[in-house]
Amino acid sequence: MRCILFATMLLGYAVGFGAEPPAEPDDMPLIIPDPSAGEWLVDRFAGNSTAGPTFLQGPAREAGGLGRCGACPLPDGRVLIPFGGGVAEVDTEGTLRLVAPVNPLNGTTAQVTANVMAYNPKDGCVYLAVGHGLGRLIERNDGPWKVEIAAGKADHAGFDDGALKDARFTRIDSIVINGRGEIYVLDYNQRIRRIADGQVVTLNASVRSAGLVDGPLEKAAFRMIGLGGNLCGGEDDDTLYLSDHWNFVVRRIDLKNKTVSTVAGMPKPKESQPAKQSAREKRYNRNSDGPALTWASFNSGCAYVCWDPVNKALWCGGPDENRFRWLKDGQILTVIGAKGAEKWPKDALGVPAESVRLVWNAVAAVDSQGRAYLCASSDPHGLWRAYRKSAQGR
Amino acid sequence: MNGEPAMKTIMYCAAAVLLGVQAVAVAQGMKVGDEFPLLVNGPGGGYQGTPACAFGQGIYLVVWREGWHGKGGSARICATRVSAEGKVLDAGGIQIAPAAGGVQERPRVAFGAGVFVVVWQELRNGRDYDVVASAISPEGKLLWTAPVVVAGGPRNQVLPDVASNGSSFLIVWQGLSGEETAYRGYAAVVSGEGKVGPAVETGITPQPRVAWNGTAYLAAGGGAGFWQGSVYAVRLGENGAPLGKPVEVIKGTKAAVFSLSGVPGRGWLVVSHRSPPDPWGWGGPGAMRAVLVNADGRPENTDGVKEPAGVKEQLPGWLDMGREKTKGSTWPWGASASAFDGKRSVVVWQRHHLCGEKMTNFTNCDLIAARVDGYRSLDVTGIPVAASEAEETCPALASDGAGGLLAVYEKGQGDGRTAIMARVLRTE
Repeated sequence: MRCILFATMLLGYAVGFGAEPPAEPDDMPLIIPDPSAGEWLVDRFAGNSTAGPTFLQGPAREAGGLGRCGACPLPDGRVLIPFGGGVAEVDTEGTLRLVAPVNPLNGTTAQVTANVMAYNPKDGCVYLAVGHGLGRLIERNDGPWKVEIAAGKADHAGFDDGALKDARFTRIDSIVINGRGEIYVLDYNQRIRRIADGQVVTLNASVRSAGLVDGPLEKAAFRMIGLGGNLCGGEDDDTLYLSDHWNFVVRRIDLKNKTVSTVAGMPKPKESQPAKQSAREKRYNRNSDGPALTWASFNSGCAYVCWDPVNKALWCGGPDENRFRWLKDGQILTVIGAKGAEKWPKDALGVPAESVRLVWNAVAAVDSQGRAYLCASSDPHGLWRAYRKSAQGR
Repeated sequence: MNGEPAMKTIMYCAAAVLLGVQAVAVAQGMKVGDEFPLLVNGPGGGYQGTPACAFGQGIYLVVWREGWHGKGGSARICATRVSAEGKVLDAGGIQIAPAAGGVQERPRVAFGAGVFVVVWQELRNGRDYDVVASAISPEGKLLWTAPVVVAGGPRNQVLPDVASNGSSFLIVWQGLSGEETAYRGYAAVVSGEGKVGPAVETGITPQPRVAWNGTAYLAAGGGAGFWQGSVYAVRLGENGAPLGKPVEVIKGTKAAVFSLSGVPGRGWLVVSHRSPPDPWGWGGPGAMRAVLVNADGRPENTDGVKEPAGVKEQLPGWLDMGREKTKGSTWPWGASASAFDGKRSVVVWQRHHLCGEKMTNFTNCDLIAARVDGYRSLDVTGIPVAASEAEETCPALASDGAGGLLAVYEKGQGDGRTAIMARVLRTE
């Protein structure tokens, strides 16, 4: 009862009803629904759970072979889908067609598939990883879209900064483009690199498994070695968020002040023996909702981040999530999948979001209407799209 | 990169030498002929894909997709005859159905009643696929006045396959109708003259395949989910109706793809991969698994559906295996093809080299072959069929029934382009 009471108080606080945050109790629920959770619906967007692994075009909801894929919404309503067989396009009529035969996941860890392609509002091009380099899609109407190298070289790995053609990348895992057309990439899960004004510059200094140090960007430390982290944009053109995988936290990077701060993920408990851990400590390394820096955590690390420009929230999660959660107003709360059911209608439209269950999931992208594109490894058959009832679903 | 083919040759030779007796089998069991292209400078601008082939009246007929099949594309099904010795008989290719719009994809072909029937999926209206078929004579002449629609309508009808009992053809596919959200498996009989019988539901989907083994049809399908990626099979009557409930013949894996062929007198051979490598350490071992389905439609060897817990060693039905995630290691994964050479089956499959930070990514796929008696490999290390530094994938295989075979496959040309290549194989 105490937990329920606190959760209720917490929800009230989250939506601004409470003047003061409640005193922290001894325990609280792992799942705390966001106040908006009941407003969300989920549509199958592309792919079909019965189609099989062979790539099929046609009606997007009848397509096959997309596997675990990403999403790149375009301003004109089309959505590009980077998948293992190339890049597909879903047009505004809902027809899915292959547009480029290059594998955009080949250069990434392909574990998360969030933020693997990005649209540049300044030049109208879509950017993606091509081998070791950064590529730019050139749209055509009479054949496969071309990919030209924008920076680095596809067949040469390295970390050299410098002019676009002289710089080298190793494995571009995330691509972020802000309103000014500046490109930020997470390279080889280690280095945050800025591409602007014809130059590639590495922003962070301590690039290997170096601990958790906030403060000046050039001295900040991350624990990113091995499996992927993820980089995304934020509330303005000078903000990035990073899923700092093995620190189990989300980091916020202020590009204007060149500082790093931790914004979500409780610290690793000092006590490692479960029998001696407090209720709060036991929440570490689990999909725990709650106050972001003290009670919330991620299972198997923090694997992805994805900024929602409409709801002003940061979708984030670990690699072993079966709910979709966001960071908003200092809380990690469950928006989708609070009551996930094994046999939910995966290929239907308008499914109440609380019943959705996608395991090993991520929000791959959010469009300008605040609709979230969902992917998962448990059902490697494309994308779902979540939206609030008040928004226009398709 | 230039040293890679030489390094691969050294690796294969070293494996053969280490395995002594097997080296003799590699040398004597199968002769692999020179590689040759099927259509050079074709109308598809270097985009060729998804080959299939069949044998009849002394020649092979190879079909493939010619051209870009994505947005803005106009891919067509192209064919050529190839002699038993490996001579391309239609150097300019034969367009099976040079329609005005849309794209044609994923052809399959079978021989019976003196003709080759070719079936494919066609995005004719630019919105959804239909299943379409046509016929071609062993002399290379298109036989029907126009392609026939086997399955149409406003929803996707896709992934057809075809087999023949010698007098007619059975076409299987997966499709959607009405407001359904789940694909169903269907079959229909098509005569050598192009008359299409009624569609019947088979219960086999997705990726349905069908094979005739001299006495009966078997359909197999599967691969729909992460946990439900099993391959199921069921015998079909000559009208396509199932003769029972589908039986699981190969246990689930991620994204199951498989091949199916008849084994006269014994049943059918199903081949499918096992687990992919996984950076979290869960994946593996990888394997290319063979299961002999007997005349009753049940798996004769059970290692495809029931493995020892924590299996680490190669099981009897495994044609290939990947276990180590280290530089130089290989991993079988993806498409395969099989055919009966008159004495036993021959299987060709994909074997990838590993790369990446954790050696769990694929690079440079080769094609490997083995003769298979029932479900047991006679060439345990595998015989390289195509092992250049280019990607060689998506094999198809047909046999003359007397030890001669034609293997066709996609070969990467860079920039997303692929060419269809072929080699004549001869087993001893």
